Amino acid sequence: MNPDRDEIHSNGERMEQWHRALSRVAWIAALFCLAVLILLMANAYNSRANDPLKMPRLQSLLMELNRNPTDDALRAEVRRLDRQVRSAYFRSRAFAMNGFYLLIGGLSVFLLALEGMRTIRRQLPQPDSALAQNAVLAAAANRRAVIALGTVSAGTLITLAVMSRHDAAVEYTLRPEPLPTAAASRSDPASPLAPANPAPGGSSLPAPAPGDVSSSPPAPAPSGGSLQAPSQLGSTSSLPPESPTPNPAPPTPGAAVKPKPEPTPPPSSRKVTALFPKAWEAHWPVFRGPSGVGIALTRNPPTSWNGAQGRGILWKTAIPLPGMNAPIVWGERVFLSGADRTSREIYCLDARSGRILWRKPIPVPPLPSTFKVSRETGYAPSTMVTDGKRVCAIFVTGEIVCLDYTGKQLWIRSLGLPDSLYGHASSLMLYGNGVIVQFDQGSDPSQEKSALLALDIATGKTVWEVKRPVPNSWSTPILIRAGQQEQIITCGSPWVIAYDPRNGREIWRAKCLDGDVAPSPAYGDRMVFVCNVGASLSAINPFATGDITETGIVWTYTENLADTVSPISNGELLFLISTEGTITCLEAATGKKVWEHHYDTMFRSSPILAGKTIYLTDTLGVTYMFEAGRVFKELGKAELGEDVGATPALVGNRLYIRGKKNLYCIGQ
Amino acid sequence: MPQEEKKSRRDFLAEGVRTGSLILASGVLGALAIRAESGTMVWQIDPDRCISCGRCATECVLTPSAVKCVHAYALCGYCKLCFGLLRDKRTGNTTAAENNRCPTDAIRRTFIEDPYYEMYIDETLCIGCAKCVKGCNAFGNGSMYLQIRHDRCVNCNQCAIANACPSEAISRVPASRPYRMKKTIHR
Amino acid sequence: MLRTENGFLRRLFLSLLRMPLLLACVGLLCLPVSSPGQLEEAKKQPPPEFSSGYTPPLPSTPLPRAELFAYLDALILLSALSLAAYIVLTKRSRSALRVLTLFSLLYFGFYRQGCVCAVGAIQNVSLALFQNDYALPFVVGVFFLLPLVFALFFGRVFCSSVCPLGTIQEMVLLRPKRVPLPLDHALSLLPYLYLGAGVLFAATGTAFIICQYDPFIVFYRLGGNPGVVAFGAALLLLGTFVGRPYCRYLCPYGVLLRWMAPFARWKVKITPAECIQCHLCADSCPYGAIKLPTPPEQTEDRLTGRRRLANLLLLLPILVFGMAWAGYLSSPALSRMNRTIVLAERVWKEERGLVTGNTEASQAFYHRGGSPESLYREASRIRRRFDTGAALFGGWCGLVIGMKLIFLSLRRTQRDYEADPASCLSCARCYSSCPVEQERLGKFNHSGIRIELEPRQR
Repeated sequence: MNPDRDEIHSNGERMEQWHRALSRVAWIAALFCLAVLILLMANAYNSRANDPLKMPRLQSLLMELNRNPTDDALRAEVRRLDRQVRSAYFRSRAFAMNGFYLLIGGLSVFLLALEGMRTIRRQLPQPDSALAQNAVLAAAANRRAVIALGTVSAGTLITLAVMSRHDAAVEYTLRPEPLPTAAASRSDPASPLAPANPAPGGSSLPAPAPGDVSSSPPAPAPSGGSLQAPSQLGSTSSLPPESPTPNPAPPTPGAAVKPKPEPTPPPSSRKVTALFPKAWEAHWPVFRGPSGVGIALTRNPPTSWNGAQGRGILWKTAIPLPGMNAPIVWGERVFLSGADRTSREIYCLDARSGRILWRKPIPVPPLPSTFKVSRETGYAPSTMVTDGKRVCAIFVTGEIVCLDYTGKQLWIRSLGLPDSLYGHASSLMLYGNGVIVQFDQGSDPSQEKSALLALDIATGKTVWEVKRPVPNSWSTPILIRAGQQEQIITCGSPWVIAYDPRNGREIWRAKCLDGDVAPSPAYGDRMVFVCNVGASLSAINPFATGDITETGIVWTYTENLADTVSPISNGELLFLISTEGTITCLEAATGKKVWEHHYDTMFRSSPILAGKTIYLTDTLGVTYMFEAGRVFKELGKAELGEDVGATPALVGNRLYIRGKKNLYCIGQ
Repeated sequence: MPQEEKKSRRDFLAEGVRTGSLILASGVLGALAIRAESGTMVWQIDPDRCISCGRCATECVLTPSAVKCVHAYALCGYCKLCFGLLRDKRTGNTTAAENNRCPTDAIRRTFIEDPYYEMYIDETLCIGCAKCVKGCNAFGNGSMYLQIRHDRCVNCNQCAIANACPSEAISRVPASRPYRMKKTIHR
Repeated sequence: MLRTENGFLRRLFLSLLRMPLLLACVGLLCLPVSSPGQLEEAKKQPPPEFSSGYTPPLPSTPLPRAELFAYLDALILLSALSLAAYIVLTKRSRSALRVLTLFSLLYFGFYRQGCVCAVGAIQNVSLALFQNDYALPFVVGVFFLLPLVFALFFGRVFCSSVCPLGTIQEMVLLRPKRVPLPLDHALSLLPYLYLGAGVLFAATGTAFIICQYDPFIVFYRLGGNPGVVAFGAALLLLGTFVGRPYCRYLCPYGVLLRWMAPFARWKVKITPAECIQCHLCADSCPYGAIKLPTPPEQTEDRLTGRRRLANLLLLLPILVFGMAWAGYLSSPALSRMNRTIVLAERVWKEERGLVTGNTEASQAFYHRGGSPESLYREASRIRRRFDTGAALFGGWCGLVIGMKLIFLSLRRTQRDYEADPASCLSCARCYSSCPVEQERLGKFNHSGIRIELEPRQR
């Protein structure tokens, strides 16, 4: 043995020892990593139980504690569990962090050890002959593999393509504005009158009426153009919808507007129905609800609340500026306006939280000192309208402004300072894209100051305008459909006039009012009802043309007339509410008094009918609920704890009442 | 020799590609340099858009989330009953566990004077779950709201919370103004 | 190769043309934007008058990492790339390269937490190219371009030891096994498809899927989506015996580098002198990047080969257009990845009563007073983008598959063992296995072992 060999030998021995040591290190490191990994996984699994955001046990304990607030043992248990969960959470977070570092450390040691082992045992590379193969066969195999993968990816794409067919997402790209058609097509099968009445009373016929009483050829309007009766408006939702439409419908809607079914169904052209798009059913887009006559299409209205105690109050939000206008609601948004002498503002609130999403100050020129409004009217008495995209508001000073849903001002125009005893207070109405403004002013009709206008909601331009032979009034018009004839019913002194909403053409007029007119008309079954203190309550047959003072008034009633409160009808019965507190129930068809009830309070805001219940709020904020039936039956009484001047809005299961300072949302 | 000719041709081509690409790259870089005047952008939450859904606590790539509750004292109403701190259903008005809204007990209050307390959020404990934000928004002035804290945020290429945020409240803001504070009237 | 290269150049060129437009849009972006919710002052409780003279403190606003550091990152990237090029091409030292690898892993990986990386920057670039309202941050642009420029001169040195995704895989590679060649060829298509998908979703402003499914970033950040953690762990486990599975079979940036590297001025040369055809380097390469000499005999007659090639060339347009059509048809399904589309669809259904209740997103949408019309408009705009994008994506998939088949049918002749610059990751393993290199370094004499090297029979 030569010494050289020896040296190599002992060197090799030493290397072998090193190798063994490193191998042991590697094993230990690997086992360590494994252990840490298992612990980390266990920790991750456990930490789900300790997630401070979801602790079902703690939550249930808390609920129990809320039921028995005096249970001290339970309280102690909650505290103990809370502390335990929290500390466990932070412990497991720290554990995960440290574990990760340990794992990385362990892995580094493991890798280093393996590297060392490989260095010690490094061998000269040996050629591997397996690579030498038939190039042609190899290429064929490669191609096959590529084709296989290509097939898989093509298959994936084709599967996706197949999945993509009949996709709702495609719909709106093809038809950017398909809302009208969709609404119309939906209302067809859902039309409640379709099976009962073959005549198209409630079906969607966007075309003008066939020659009924006063079919209206699209004659040139008195001034300006004409409003297209958009297909959106085609569906006269004849109240109430009886079919199971997806939108909220009253549970027993039979009583809402339409009276008992006639044994021999009259021609549906003799029925008066509401005129509003189907899409409005789930909203409250204009003054007094979709129909404009105070009918709420809700299934489960709130029945009891107390504003002072906060019971039943979903939220309450202070409205910075005062206003007598009622809230309007579209989806989850509530709009109202407020104003004082120097500023005008429009508010948009979140219907769920009551948070003011935005408020838009409307810049207006300073008012001349001669301009006065009554304190009860205020500077923002008129309720706004919305078409689901835009909101329009009119102020006491005659400015109309239109905003989009982000609060951006689309247009503003002034109709001029109204010459009105209390200031302009009539609310806006909406027909298709036309904002209907009943702008009555002046003390003498011969001045020809009063007008009815339709403004394009998109631009603010006048679509049509007709002069009205009446002095200032404060009543809000309603939209109805008498058979197939669409009508705007306006109240003035002395004329009640019906106009064609498409072009402003006058259809009929009746002389039956007097004095300062404020209540809105109502309609029921086959008639329109108008009333005012100092005149009478008159039932008018709207299936007529021309001056129908002599021929069209079916009956009148003259006691306890309304001063500001609009009457309301469910078709069979008519309810007349006087400011002094008397409620009179009349038979709609005959005008015969059914019952009378007196509350010792004052009513200024108009009633709402939901199902069989009439909601009536007095000036002190007490809402009386009574049955819309042949006998007076009080169903409930609820206090808001704040003075109320505006008509409430009732949509979904929420009731919105605007108090003097705050807007309340009542509901669950 | 054809072989060499081919090689030189290939070299020439490569040279051309390289030069072209270089010119292009420098052009793009130059354009970038001009365009990048807006500076670095970082992610931030718009408190007006936030709906306190709680995803900030769960979706962030970091555990705990880089989103924390921020208390804008100037907006605080110093309510007697702070509903950022307390549950709405309480049994008594102590800040004990059964009444405390914060799941990690991250809200500390320090006494100022009767009856006012200053609410302070311990960011080492806060997990950005937005429970207090919800409470403060519903009952108080909304002075508590979520913000991405840039001492923690790793400023991902694409914010994972922004991906999951249902109200699209998270967007890029210039790093020079990295917070979106709520607007206040009283300063 | 050339064709695709031109495509890329064209895209860059187009982007240059669009620059003024982009600039204008960025300018517009800087204008103040009014937000709808400026209404907080209407709220409730005014602050009390404090008699103790207490003034409300300001909330703390810790600043983000200073921009200077971002430039520092770019500088470090530049130095790391230069160093890598020097080590790979001049020093030819694997151990030095490993030190640099470790540094990059620690710095770009654990310290910078894997962001910004060149791989993800693809999406920023596509977003900036296709969406006018997004300005590409300068440093991201540098991270995107520098490795490509270096690839043009020195090959894929970025992959070797700088990329945070590559380095972690490099570290765990213990016992490389060869991937069967057909499988390797098939899987190598995936990066192209992934690149296409990544660009599609980024350009439509939908998602950064490359970042979202980045498998290793979760290790750098010590946490993340459990699914991605599992994916990353599986890849690392696989990576102990399959060399860099992510880089070879997924990395979309690798595709771009693949296009650049063949034009490199200085490439990896395995043997410093005459190749002795010992085959050792090919065995040592864990990435299958070493092209073997073609065997002299071809068992297939020329005609069959030519006919196949002609067929494939004819197939190519069919494949491209067929896939483009399939892509176009699948656009609605793909567009569902986009939140605006999902929201628009939901709002659409809710408005028509086709569904009951709200989702959180639709609720938030109503809450902020968004207009459905503009939402639909925006969604249609995105849908049209998706229609184009998905068709292009489908066509791209067809093109990639067709081209791959064509390349596999081309004859090539090669004499020596050479590193394929497109797939060589410049890891420097082959140097030490080359006997000629060892001899150059005088290693043989050193250890006292001598072997006779005989050229293989040819």
